[in-house]
Amino acid sequence: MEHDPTDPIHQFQINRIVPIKIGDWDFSFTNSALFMVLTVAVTTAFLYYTTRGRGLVPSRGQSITELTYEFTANMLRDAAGTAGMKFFPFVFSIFTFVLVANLFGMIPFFFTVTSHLIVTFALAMLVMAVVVGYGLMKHGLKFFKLFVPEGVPALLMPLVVLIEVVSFLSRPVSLSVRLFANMLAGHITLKVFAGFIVSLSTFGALGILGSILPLLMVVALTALEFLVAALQAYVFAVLTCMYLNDAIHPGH
Amino acid sequence: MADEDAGTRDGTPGTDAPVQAAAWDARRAALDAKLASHRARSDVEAERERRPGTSQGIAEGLKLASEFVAGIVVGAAIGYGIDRLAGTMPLGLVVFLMIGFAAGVRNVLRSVAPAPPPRPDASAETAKASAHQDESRSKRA
Repeated sequence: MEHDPTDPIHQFQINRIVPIKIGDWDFSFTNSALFMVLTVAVTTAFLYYTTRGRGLVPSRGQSITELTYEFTANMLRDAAGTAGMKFFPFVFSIFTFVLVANLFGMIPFFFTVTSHLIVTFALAMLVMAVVVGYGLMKHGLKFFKLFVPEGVPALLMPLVVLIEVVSFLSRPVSLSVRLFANMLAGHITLKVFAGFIVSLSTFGALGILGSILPLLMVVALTALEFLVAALQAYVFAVLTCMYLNDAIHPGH
Repeated sequence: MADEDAGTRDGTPGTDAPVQAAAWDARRAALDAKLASHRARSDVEAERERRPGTSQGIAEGLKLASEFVAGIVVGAAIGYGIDRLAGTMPLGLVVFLMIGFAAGVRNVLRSVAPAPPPRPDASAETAKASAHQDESRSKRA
């Protein structure tokens, strides 16, 4: 199907690059998978390359790596205390993956991995699996004190516990939908305004003059999108830290 | 100037060590003053950035909205699932939509609640951890 160049949704289309089929399951290597691999590869290569020198006076690249490390470490220590530092590799991986994937999406013709709900939901479920798994492993059944707030009358307790459980279950949903919706909406908005430029400029000289307005808008939105990309990665990581804190210290 | 005099008064014309020390002291004092003014300025800038009404406000609003909607969606999904399994079509949906609504409000309240004061009976580490977290749960205790 020939697609309209100004179609704002086309950028999210999944294409099979290497079709792989095992039984009835489709394991094809898609453009989404390609950019996930690229994200991990670029992040790993950057971190490895910049810390190779291990300079006492850090080089420019090493400074970036060290700043990211300090930033994530402080974020985790603030939210979950020093006991949470054992989750540092996990949080750092999630933070850098989301951040680099978001920023990759800002490069023209690049696929935005985090604009697909299934990717962000898988990330959120991974966080929840770690929280529940670690909580049950460390505290056993005491982990469920998380759902039993103190000082609630016994009569209201079943209702409150039910609400707490639903509230807990809604965490992966809000965590994944927030990241996905921000990236999707931002990229659609960018594309729609960029499409205005194309459609307006077909109307002769007056149209070209008029297309300056959406062009200015696109420039402003691009700056905003860079901010959103970084901010959403930060929000995702902060909430991960807070949920991990619940697993480490339940029922306070 | 006074230090130069001191140098000559010592009767060691070849050595300008006291002169140098004084120069270093002066430079250090100047640098300290410069640093202090710079720090004050960056504090002011940080304060300005922390002010509401910037894009952080938009992010915060979207965050709260998604927290609220997620509670309702999950409640509705649970209710629908129960109805499908038990064949009580509208009942479970109605009840769990209500509970989902309450859970959404709970989510929002948890996100915006000010940091609770540390409880006296809590251990030092727990108090530190919960002080950083915007939990309203421990406020009830």
